[in-house]
Amino acid sequence: MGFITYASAVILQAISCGYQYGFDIIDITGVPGGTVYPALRRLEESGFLASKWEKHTIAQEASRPPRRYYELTRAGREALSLALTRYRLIDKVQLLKKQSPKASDI
Amino acid sequence: MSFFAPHRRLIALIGVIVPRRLRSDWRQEWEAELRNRELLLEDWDRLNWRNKIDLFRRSTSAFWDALALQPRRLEDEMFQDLRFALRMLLKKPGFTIAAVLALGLGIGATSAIFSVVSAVMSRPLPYPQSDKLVMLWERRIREGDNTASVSPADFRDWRSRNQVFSHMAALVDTSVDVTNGSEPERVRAGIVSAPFFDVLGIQPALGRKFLPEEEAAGRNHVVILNQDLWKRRFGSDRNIVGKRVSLSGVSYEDALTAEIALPSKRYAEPKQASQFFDQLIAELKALPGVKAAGMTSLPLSGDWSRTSIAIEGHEDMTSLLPQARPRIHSRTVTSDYLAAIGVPLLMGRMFTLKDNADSPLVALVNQAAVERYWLGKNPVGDRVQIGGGTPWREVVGVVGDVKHQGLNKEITPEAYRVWAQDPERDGKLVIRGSNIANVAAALRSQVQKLDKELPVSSIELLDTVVQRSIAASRAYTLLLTLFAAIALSLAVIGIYGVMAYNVTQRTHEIGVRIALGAQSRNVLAMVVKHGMALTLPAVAIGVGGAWIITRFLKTILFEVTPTDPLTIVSVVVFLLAVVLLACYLPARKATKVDPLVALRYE
Repeated sequence: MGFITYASAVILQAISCGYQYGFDIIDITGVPGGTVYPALRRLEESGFLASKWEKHTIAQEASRPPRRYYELTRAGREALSLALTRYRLIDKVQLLKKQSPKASDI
Repeated sequence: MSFFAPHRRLIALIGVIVPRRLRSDWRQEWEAELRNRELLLEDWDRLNWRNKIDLFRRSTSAFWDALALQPRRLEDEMFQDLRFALRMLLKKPGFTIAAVLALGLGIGATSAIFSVVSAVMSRPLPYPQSDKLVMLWERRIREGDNTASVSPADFRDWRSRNQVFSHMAALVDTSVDVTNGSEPERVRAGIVSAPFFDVLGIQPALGRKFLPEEEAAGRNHVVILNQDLWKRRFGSDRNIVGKRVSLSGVSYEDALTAEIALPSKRYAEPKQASQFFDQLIAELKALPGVKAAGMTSLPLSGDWSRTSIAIEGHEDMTSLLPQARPRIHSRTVTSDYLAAIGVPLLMGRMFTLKDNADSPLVALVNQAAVERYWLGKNPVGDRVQIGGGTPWREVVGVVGDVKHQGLNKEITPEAYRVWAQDPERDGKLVIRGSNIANVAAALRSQVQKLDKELPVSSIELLDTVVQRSIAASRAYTLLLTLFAAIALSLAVIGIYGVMAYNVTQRTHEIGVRIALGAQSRNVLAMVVKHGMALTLPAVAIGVGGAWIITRFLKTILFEVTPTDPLTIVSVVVFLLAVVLLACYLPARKATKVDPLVALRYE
């Protein structure tokens, strides 16, 4: 299981929460497009994401080209849950550090 | 919806740098997102400026997306190109081999030539600011000598009137015997004026440089050792400064204190030295396998100083002061030396044992001296003065020229005096004979037997001496030969490739001509003529270039002028033959092909 970056984890999380289009991911995460799109390409290439084009009928109704949306693959879901525990652990460690007595106090 | 939407135009523009395979998907994704956003925010014309700016800002991030996709362009298109190239190369193995050879040789030769040229030919001397070091010679136009040694008086004048150099020093190349410790050893030495090390810009690692007052005669003898000798002979003794070092039987001191020179006691009389050599040579000649053994006063190789010559009765020479007279290399030899070294007699007679201290003084000159100073006339019987103020001696014979100065140097006039009449205290021994390796060991023991303290150095074959004198040139020559061979192969491959390709391209045309009734010899003549029309100007340019560039090779050429006609002509003829072949072979193939096939050939 490959290690994913924090930004990748955030993007995977956004997609798993239903923000499946590039711009939606940008808006919800606040990560700039210049980071989100390359990350999407990378995650797709690594097999964490799969991209699909929306149905032509929807696009025609809206009189615009079909949009591309992203879905988590099984590997993507696993990577995300792993990343979530990892980053949660980091948060915990940070909390621990705040609460623990200083070395000089011991 | 408006067609004027700068953000979408920007996407179209950025899309140009997206790898072609991904481009349409990429554009569609971005356009769809932007259009969707527009629609959510109502139409473009009704958007407020804040939303417009936001859309434009979003579309600019497409640029980073496109940039991030660049590595895939490399992968995709590079591998595609590589596969295509490989297929084409495999299809034409002849072309492939030629191209690979040309590239390999070209790259290899270029880097090799560059490293050699930069390392050997253009490497600065190992002194600071070596580009500001110059060596001055005296030019003697009358003798055509551009590198004559400078007299001490002239040097002092030059130095006192010098306004351009920061330091000037004179240098005489010589050799001395180091006699401290076990075995005496002959080493190279320079007799220099005090600022010598200032000229070179180097500081002694230990002790001090020479002082100006040490130039004066009668002062303490001082010496500076180089690192190699110091390490090898004096065990890197850091306390050596101030100690006495024994050189040449003349007791010299190191850089700080002093002692005055004393000549070697044992051979103070010329006769004693002469006797020693006579005895040694006689014993050497008695050794099995030895045919001839002789001594010469000068080393066998190297550029050594010259002395004056005057021919009796030649007013133009005798009326001049010795220092203004023509110069000649002069060496003292024992009677057997010339036979030992293998110099032929051309006129008159060689020295014999009867030419001794009690008989009339005699000399031999070489062919070059006869040509220059006797203008080719027979000199036998003439009397000459070799060195100003010396007694007159009779020329008894003319001998062949010897390249004593080095194989790649010009032959210079030489005079020989006979050892018995002009004894020297040291010299080089030459022994000719069979089984010479055993003689070397015998020689050492013979000398030891006669005098235990006498240094015998550099026992080696004459051939080795010759080899060494040309070793540097030989290395260059080997390298340059290699480079020349590579360059020639490159030229051949290049010319053949271009011409053959050129002719192959015309297969179609040749087919048309033959279909229309052209004879194959007409076609061949046409193709060859065309090839020659291309080649001849190229050859002219090449020869012109060679003419200009080869003058830089002059210093390392031996018996070949830089513009040797034979070399140039043979190279040109060879390359023309290659061109002829490169035109002829494909053209003949084209004429043999059925015109219909040739017509279809693309």
